Amino acid sequence: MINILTTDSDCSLRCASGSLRRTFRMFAFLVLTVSSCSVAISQETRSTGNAAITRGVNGLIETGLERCAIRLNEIVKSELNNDDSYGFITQPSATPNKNGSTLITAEDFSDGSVVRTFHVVPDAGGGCSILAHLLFISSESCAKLRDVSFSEWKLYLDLGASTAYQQKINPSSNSSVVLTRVDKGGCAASKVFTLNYLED
Amino acid sequence: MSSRQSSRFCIAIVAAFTVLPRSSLADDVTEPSRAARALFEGGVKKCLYHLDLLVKFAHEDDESYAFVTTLGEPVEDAGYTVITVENLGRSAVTRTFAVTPDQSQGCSVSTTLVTPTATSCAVARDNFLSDWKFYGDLGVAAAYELESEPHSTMVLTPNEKSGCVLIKSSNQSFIGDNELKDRSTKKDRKRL
Repeated sequence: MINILTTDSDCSLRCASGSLRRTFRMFAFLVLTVSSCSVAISQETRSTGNAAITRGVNGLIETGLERCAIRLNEIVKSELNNDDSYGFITQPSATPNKNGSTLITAEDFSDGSVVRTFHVVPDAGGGCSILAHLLFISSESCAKLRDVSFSEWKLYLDLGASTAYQQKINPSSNSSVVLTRVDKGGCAASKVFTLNYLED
Repeated sequence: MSSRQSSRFCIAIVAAFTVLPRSSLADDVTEPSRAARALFEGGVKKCLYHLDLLVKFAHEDDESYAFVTTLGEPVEDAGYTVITVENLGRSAVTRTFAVTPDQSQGCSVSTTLVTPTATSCAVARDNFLSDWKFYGDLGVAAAYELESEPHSTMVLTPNEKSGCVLIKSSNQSFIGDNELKDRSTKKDRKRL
């Protein structure tokens, strides 16, 4: 099952709600709104070491990332059903606690695959910015994907080969999806969202 | 894909995977890109200068792409994102620029480039990534690295239709920030 995280721009400031979307053929887009405020990692979790840390984030921690690792871990945990189900690589910057790091994961499903890119940066205001780029490569057409999984999304632009949508529930949403036709059929769905946390 | 489209596609691939030359940034003298201008009008102030340069490097013609911004709360130091889509006939190249004013008082920009190809990943690797070295197996995907771009990773993942999707992820850190302004000269504006 594929989880695609949906957020809105208010998420960094207020608690958000969650909802479940319909399944699409063999996979389902489980839409979880990040409750980034309410699901702050407790001090107890921090002090218990890396027990609750996902493999991917742990990989980044081993490269020197300390700032915003807990925030990133929350996102990664929300995204992935099973911490053993994905392959990953880390892409740290020279100074990860100032300039950030990237985690790339890949996961296979019966009807497609998902490559996720998480980019975390400690921002200038002492908070954390996290970009998540989720690429789902489906054997289905973009039209089918749109009708079933993104029917409530607002069409933003249509380029023929590509169409972009923004989340309808909030006009100032920081979540967008671009559906791009793949040669020989199929569709590549790029979903992008940014999360801004005021505190680490 | 016609031969013209095919050659355009190859040029786009090569351009996308080429190391960003610093001189191209320093010598850039044009007015702000549409994407940077839209963010500026949306209230963004920081790091637009660097974003603007990257967008211009990716899209030589400012009219060649469509874009969507993912702008959240207008928090001064918050990150923001621009997605650009350039149509290449039967397919399209999607770029995501995620910009954050970072802890070093500079700007961190993460760029993700998604390019679907009709060829298999093996052919795409041989044709476009001959200088890239295998870096890691992600199960359904393979990752490659390039010595001259230590903060870039290329991931190739097949689709079920025997094609391949190339995903390039790059991190760039810029020291300091500059104000976004119209850097075109009177002569440039006259020419335009």
